[in-house]
Amino acid sequence: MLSCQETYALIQDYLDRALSPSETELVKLHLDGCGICAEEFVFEGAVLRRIGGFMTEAEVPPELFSRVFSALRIA
Amino acid sequence: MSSDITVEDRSQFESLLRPVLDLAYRYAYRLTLDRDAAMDLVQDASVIAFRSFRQFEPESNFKAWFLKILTNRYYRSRQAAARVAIVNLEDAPDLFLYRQARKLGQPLRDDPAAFVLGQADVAMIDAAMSRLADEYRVVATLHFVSQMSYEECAQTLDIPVGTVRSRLHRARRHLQVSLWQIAEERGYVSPEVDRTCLVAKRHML
Repeated sequence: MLSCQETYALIQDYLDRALSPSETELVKLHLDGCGICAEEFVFEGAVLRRIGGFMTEAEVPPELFSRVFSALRIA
Repeated sequence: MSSDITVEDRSQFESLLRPVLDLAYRYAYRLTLDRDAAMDLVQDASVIAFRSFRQFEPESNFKAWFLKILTNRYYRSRQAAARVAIVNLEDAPDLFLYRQARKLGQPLRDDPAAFVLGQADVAMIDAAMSRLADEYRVVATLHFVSQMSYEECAQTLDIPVGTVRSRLHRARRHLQVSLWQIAEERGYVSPEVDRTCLVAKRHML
């Protein structure tokens, strides 16, 4: 079983689904049994989701496509 | 048209470009924080990519290839501009916002990030991202906006996967400190918490 230190070192990768299946299982196992790490994990995930939500907010200008493809026609 | 680019090349290029333009714009916008500059960046990258299309390997990842060109173009535009990171990345502790929440006795159920990000808006996030040095901001922006894997980010930025991972993790730590600073500046949270005692001490099992 992973220690809290070892789990924390993998938490960001776990949130990004960047761990191998076996590492993922080990982190899950630790989080299931450690309330403090589970709380930290939920908090970090919530922060990242909020930031990610804001970061993808940007209305694409309707003229973007015509502008790009016009430039390509004379490229 | 460049003499060695065929009508078929053009058609293939446009069919590959079209699905990634929205993402490219959002990425460019978050980097430049300016609508016109973002459109210029996407347009310039599109023209450069088109002229270089013969260098694109058909079996490879067009999105990563195109965003690499866009990123390089962005870096070139930034060469003359001096950027200073306000927070030293080495000083950004782990779990900063979590520890602030614990210290302030904030409830951590339901919506645990609400205590500092509940009043946040996109301008607050942009301001915090702007406090990152470019090499960290670009990785974090690409990952947040595109949801690309570490491997795709590495392809796009032409850096090792391990560098993507370490820059992204450090950028997130730094971002949490910057968000707190901005929340303090805006009066969303109390400025009285002593930040110096918040360097994480891990609990041990």
